[in-house]
Amino acid sequence: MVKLFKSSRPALKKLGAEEIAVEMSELSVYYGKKIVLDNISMVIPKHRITSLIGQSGCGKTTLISSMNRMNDLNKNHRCTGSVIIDGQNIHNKKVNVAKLRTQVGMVFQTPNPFPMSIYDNVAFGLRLQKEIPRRQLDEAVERALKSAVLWDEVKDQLFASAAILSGGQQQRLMIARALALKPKILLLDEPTSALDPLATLHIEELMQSLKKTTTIVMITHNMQQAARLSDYTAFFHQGELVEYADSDKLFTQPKHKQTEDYITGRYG
Amino acid sequence: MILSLAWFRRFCIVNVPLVATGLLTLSLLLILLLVVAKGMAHFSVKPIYQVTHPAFASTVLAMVEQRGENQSTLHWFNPIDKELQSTQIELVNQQLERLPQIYGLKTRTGKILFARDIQLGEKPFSKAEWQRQLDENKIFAKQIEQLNTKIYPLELRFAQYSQQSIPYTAPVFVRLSAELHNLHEQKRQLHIEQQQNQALIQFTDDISEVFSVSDIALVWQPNDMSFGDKIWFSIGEIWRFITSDHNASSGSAGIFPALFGTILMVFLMTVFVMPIGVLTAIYLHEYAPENYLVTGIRVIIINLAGIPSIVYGVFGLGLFVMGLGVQLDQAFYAQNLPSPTFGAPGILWASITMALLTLPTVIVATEEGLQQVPQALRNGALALGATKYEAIRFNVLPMASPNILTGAILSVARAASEVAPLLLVGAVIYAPTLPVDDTFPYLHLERQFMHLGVLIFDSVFHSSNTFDNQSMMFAICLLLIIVVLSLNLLAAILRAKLRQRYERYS
Repeated sequence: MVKLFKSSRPALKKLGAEEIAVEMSELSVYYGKKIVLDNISMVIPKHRITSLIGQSGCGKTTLISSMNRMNDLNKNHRCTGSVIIDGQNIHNKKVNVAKLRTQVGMVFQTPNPFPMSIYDNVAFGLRLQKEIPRRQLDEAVERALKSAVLWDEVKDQLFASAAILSGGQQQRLMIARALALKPKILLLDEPTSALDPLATLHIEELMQSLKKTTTIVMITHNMQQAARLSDYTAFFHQGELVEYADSDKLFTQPKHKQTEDYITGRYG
Repeated sequence: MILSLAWFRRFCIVNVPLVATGLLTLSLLLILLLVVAKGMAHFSVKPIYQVTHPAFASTVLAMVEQRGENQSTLHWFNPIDKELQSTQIELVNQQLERLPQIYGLKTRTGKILFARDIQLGEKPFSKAEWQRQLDENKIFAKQIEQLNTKIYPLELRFAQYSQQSIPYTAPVFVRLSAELHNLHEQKRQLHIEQQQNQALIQFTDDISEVFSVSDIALVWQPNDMSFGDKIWFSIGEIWRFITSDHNASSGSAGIFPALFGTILMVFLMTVFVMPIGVLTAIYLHEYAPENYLVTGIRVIIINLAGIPSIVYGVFGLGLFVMGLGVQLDQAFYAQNLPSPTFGAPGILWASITMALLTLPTVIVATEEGLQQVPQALRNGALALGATKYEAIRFNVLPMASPNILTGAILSVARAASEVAPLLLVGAVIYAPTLPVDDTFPYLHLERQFMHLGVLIFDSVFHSSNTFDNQSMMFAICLLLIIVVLSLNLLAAILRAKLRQRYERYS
């Protein structure tokens, strides 16, 4: 408890403008007539890990998808409100979506390696952006794999098919693939849900080290993980943001009854 | 209660499909067996008998084809007309005599002759001597060819001089004509020497004729061949069958133009159908909105596959040949009118008609392949900043490629075996020229072409009843089956390789 009060994290409301990576205000998302996110206003602090928790179907994935407009793929989708990244509302029609997605990387729940070699998987995003000389590409791939703590395991088989990797390695490959583009924000949708404890540890260590340069938003169903890993945690319930606070505060002194029920497991 | 209704029903459910499958397999095997046996018989060595029969004034040389108990078809050589003739006749075995010293000959024009004896110049016939003379003639032919290449430019210059009205007495002209005269003289000498290699062919005891060695393509002695000789001869026959020209009038029985026409038509069809089919499928599956119009289009496309192929033929004739082709002629080939260029059936219209015919196959197969690509893979690419086009191009299409290939193969197999529409839009029984030759623009899309299926059709109904007509039909069937099956096999292998490569990702 003593440690809690010495926390280096500023309170969310006191964040300066340069400390904010994403600012959402009055964001509502509908699929058809069903409302999925109801009037969400929150800020994501820069170079921190923010966890989103809540039961399945409460809109967490929709929320992170609306940060890089992956929502657009759903044809019934409609949204109001604004998501501001770097002073720009990304839901504006004029925004170059492909460019946005290179800035806001996303890793999905299940690894989805492309049917190519490990090297090509990591180089995929870079090659789409512009023609890069082979040597620079090599360096970028190595850097990405090293920052995803995968380099030592795959350096001898870079040109082997990505399908030979284990689940945990594939998930780190997915992170490396996103990191190769040097995104400012990394969105992780339950990155460790399918992994064993050791692989989970690898990924958690990786996230801690990435924190220095990247803003991380993570969805998780693992309370311990959210508590030990993230700086801030947001709890969602049925499309509404119930509570959003410093992780230590949220997990030790939740303000709302719903939050307390959820994190103690007394609830759905 | 063995004979209860339930037992009977169960018995039927198990056994009826079993019997049906068995029958189907059996009939398929029987068809294959028939075609292979009859087709291969075309290349076998058939003995030539000396026939003594009251129907003929003297003995004749003939090949015999059994038809039932006593009836036989006799393909006998008429030494007076020097032609094979066929007669239905009743034969008994004593009337046939199998003499070892009987020759079969094939001339360069495709005529078949039966002879009792051959004299090569002064010597009797022998393989070695025959080969020596042939080689000699080849050398002469080569020399003549070389002379021709020398003569041709000189002739051109000669024509130029006469056009420029240079007097014949001018020294240049005199030198030129002297040189030309000299060369022509050399050529004549060579021709004479070439003609000296002659074969005296004895058809009967008193009828004989002299042939130049180079006029005769093939000599064989069917009654005096060892097993190895026969196999070697058959292989040669197969080779000549595939590579030599087809000429119904002279009876030359090669099918090269038909094989070439079939393959070229199928190739052009693939070139037309694949891009259009794949792009249509991509549009329908990836880009088109979900509404009644698109669903309607999809239903129409699937139903297009059920339209009888002859209707496509009529459609192609009406729209492409008479509509588009005539318009093209008026716009670009007006100088050739009234003789049509594209306004007549030709290989271009045939392959486009076939492309239309096989379009549904390609579209349906491609769409199936696109459906199998997991959505997560597209999302992965999009999340890395790929545009929709890039995601499809780099991730979706490679994974759908086994199915696209399946579509291609199904369409190729269909196009190679379909005959009815081709009869209307460009395939003919005999085309004097190939659609590809050495004159600009090399690929002549407006030309008519020959097709294996059309040749089969023709040999069943229309051609004269020459002695190897029926077996040739089966041989063409066999070849067509081999072409289609080998294409399928190739595709199956490729598809298996691609599947293996991509299945771990889906």
